Amino acid sequence: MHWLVATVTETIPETVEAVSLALEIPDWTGHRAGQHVDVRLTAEDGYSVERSYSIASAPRSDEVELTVVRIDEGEVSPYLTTGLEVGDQIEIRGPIGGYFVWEKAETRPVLLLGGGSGVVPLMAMFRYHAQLDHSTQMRLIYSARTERDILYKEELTALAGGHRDVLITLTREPVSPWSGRRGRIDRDLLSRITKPFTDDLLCFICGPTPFVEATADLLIELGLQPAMVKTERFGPTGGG
Amino acid sequence: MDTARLDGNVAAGILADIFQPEMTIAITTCANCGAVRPLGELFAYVRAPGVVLRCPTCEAALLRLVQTPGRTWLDLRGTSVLQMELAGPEDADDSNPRSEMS
Repeated sequence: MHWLVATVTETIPETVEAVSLALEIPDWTGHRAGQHVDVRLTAEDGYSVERSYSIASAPRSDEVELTVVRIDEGEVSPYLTTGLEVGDQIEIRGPIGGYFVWEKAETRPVLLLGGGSGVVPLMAMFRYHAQLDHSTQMRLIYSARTERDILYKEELTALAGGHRDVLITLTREPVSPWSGRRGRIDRDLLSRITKPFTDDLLCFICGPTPFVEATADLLIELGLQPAMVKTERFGPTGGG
Repeated sequence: MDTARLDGNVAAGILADIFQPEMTIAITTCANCGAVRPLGELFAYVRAPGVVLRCPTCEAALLRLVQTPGRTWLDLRGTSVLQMELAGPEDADDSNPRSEMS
């Protein structure tokens, strides 16, 4: 697979730490919801680093949008979130991945579970589902630290309705006007949500390793088939 | 819990340099315990000079990969079978065959 040159066409601030980058890539063949790309940065002396970033946008043929959360000690994300301007170019390899992908031909109800920036590939699925006005049920449960860390907050609210719904739960929100759910995604919550489905519910879980493994274990304890629980772990070095 | 543990999805880009089929959906058989699962579900350890994919059942190493500029070493002795989905002749030139499906 070749490295492609992508041109930044827009930078969209999402939170204090996160930026979405719209990229135009000549000869882009389109992507599937849930896929990622590798980004390579090369210094003048030839030193290069690669990192994987999930695609946040629904499949389109001419453009992709990545959301990057800055990790202060990272080698790549500080540059991508603060050092890039419209017209700048970066190297991209992709689209990558076929395991953590939601297809429009899918007929089963879908549960998306995102922890932190793990919501990004799930957002591609959610946006795609809305764009298609898909007839299956899709439910997103998004665990963020605080209200100011929530990615795509207004858009998620706007896309919810009909066959889609969103539940945001905050794990470290201090005393505030937040009237939504607080606390981790726990067994009680998952039990209530999966109860009507267990036989055919398809799950996608993405986030930090402890979040993914704890949540996947709970779903399997609740009776879901392991093959129906698809996971993608973001590691401490994965998004740097 | 080992927070350095990722999964096979993280190796997809490097494997796409070597293999033509999409490798996260390739089905692996562990040479140690016989467990069968998609490569995307294997445990991945990347904080090393290379990538190691391990069996979630028995933790044996199925794949070890090291890259230097211009050269790749791939050790697959822990994988007894690797099944890959090949593109059909009608879409062999399409690098993203499913994107256009109904």
